[in-house]
Amino acid sequence: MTPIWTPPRTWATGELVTAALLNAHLRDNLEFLKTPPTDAYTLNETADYTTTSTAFVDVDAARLALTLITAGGDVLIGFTGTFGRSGVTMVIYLDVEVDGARLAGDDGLLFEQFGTGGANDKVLHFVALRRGLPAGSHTFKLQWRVNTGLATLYAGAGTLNKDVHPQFWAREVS
Amino acid sequence: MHTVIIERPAVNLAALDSDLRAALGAAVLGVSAGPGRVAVHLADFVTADQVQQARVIAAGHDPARLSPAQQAAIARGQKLEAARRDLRGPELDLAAYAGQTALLARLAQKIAWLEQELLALREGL
Repeated sequence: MTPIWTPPRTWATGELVTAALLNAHLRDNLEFLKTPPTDAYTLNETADYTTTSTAFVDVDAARLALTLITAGGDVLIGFTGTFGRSGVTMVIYLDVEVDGARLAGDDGLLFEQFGTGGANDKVLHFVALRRGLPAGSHTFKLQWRVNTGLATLYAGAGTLNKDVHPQFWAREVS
Repeated sequence: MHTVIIERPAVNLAALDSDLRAALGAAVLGVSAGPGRVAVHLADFVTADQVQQARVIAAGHDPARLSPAQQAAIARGQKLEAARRDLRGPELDLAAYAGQTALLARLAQKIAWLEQELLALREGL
């Protein structure tokens, strides 16, 4: 059963403490704190992801779309993955779409630049806080774009020596 | 943004991107691919005909056909490999230029230096 958060009760002097109150305010709230709303996806796919999009788009609108039913408050979102380029000088940008609106906006949460003569593969990762989400269901989608060229996100698809498994996760933290 | 999803495996994304941009120009924002599907990202102003055209191009895409940029890159790589094979020998011997004019000797020194820099770059030094 999904733990339920109940705003902690302010106890009154002489109040009769019932089993129902203890269960709601101690047991259930502690269970909620022990196992807060969390969703995560670790890629282990049949093909890597690629894009040439110069506008932010979903990396995978099905797999990398997390859903949390929150009690209301802040949500921590994280991602780690390894990206490759198509042999040109280019920039890869990452952002997260929360309920249809990008978390950072503009050029996203972060970018990584691939320069002439530099590495062809780089690790990109972030931990970001989305503050003040109301209670209810929320969706988090990983998004990316490039300025030019073609980017690859290695997705555990068996690519030789690049069979790595990126992870995208979200957890309510308050 | 309009996104057209095509369920299909194995695409040459750079070539598909090139084909779409050649056909639809600025209406194309890019292409993405993941397991078993391709997404064509189109600008807000595209017409229904352009959306349909993008769908047809993506569905009929031949992953074995290279884009002009990919063909050019392969040609450049082959040319470089041939030059490495044919021209690489002992490093430039500056002693052979000792009797030349100061200008020519200096040029030889510069070329020898560039040779060392290139070797260092290739070997990650």
